[in-house]
Amino acid sequence: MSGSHHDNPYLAHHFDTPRQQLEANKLGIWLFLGQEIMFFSALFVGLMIFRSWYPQMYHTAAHELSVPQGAFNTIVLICSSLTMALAVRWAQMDVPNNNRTVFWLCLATFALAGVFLVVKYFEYSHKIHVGTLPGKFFDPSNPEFPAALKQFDNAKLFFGFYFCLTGLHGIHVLAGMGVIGWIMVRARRNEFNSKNFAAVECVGLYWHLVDLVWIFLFPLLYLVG
Amino acid sequence: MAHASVSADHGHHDDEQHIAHVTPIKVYFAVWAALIVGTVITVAVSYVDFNVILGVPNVNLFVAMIVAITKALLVCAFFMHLKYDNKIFAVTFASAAIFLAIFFLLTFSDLMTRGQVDDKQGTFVKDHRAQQQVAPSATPQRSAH
Repeated sequence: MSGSHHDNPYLAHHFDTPRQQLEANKLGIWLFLGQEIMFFSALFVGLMIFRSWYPQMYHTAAHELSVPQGAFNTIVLICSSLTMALAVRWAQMDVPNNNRTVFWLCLATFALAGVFLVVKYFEYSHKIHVGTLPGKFFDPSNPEFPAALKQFDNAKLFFGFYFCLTGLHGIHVLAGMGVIGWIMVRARRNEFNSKNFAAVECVGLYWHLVDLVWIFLFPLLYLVG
Repeated sequence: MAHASVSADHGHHDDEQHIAHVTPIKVYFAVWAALIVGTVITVAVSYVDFNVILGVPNVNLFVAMIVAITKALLVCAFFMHLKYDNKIFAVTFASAAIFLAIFFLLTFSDLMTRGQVDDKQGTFVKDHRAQQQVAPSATPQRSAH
C-alpha cells in the first residue's frame, strides 16, 4: 500500500488514484444507464409498431391525453435536471457552505419530482374516471368514456402502452426521489467536497436519464398521434 | 488543489489526484433554456398537421424526434458531463443507443415491407396498415382474450 492512500481518506485501498476511483464509479452507473435504455426499448419499439399498424386509433387515443399536463411535466423535469446538475456542481467545489447548497438544490429537485408525480396522479385519476384503461379495465360503457374512442375497440392497447411506459417511468421518478433523499441526508452531514462527490454525480446521472426517457415519451405519447 | 477545482480548463486532465471538472454555471442555464425552447417547439409543431399540409405521413414524428434527439444530446453532453469526461462513458452509452437503433431498424425493416411480400408469403404476412382503413367501423365484437 502506497503512502499516498493515507493522504486521501476518500480513496479506497483498491484504487490507485482518485480519478481511477471516480471513473470506476461512473462507468458502473453508465453501464446501468445503458441497461436502462435496453429496458425501456422493448416498450418503445412495441409502441411504435402499434402506431404503424393502427395509425387512426393511435391518433384518436393520443388526443385523449392532456398536452398541457404533459408539457407542464416536461418543463418540471427539465427544471429538476437543472437543479440536479447544479447540485453536482456545488458538490464538486470546496467553497463555504457548499453542502448546504447541495442540500437545497437536491430538495428543489425532490420537490419538482413530487410535482411531476402529482400531475401524473391527476392524469391517471382522469383516465380511471372515464374508463380509458388497459386490457380488461378498458370500459367503453362508462358514461364519460370519450365518444371519439368508441369505434376503436383496440384503443385499450394504446392505454396499455401509456400506463406501462408512464408507470415504469413513474417508478423511476420515485426511485430517483429516494436516492436524492439519501444525498440530502449526506449533504446534511457535510460529506461532499472536491475529492468526494461521486455519489452526487452518480445520482445526478441517474436523474438525467429519467429526464431523457421523458424527453422521448412525451412527444411519442402525447404529440405525434 | 481547492482553487484549481473551480477552473473550467482542460489542463488538469492528466492530474490523477485532482478530479473535479466544474462546469461554468452559465453553461447549465444555457442548456436549460435550450431545453425549454425545444419543448415549446415540439408542442407548437404538434398543432401543425404536416400530414395534411404536405401530404407526407410521419413528418410530425420526424420533426418531434429531431427535437427530442437534440434535447437528449444536450442533456448528455452538459448535464451528464459526457463532453468533458473520459470518452469511455460516451462510448458505453452510445453502444446502448446503437443497439436500440438496431432493434428499431430490424423490426421495422420487417414490418414496413410486409404488405409487399404478402403474395409470395401467403396468409402469414399481412399489411396491417391496409387493414386499418376498414377495421374501426367493421369490428363491433369485443374479444375477451
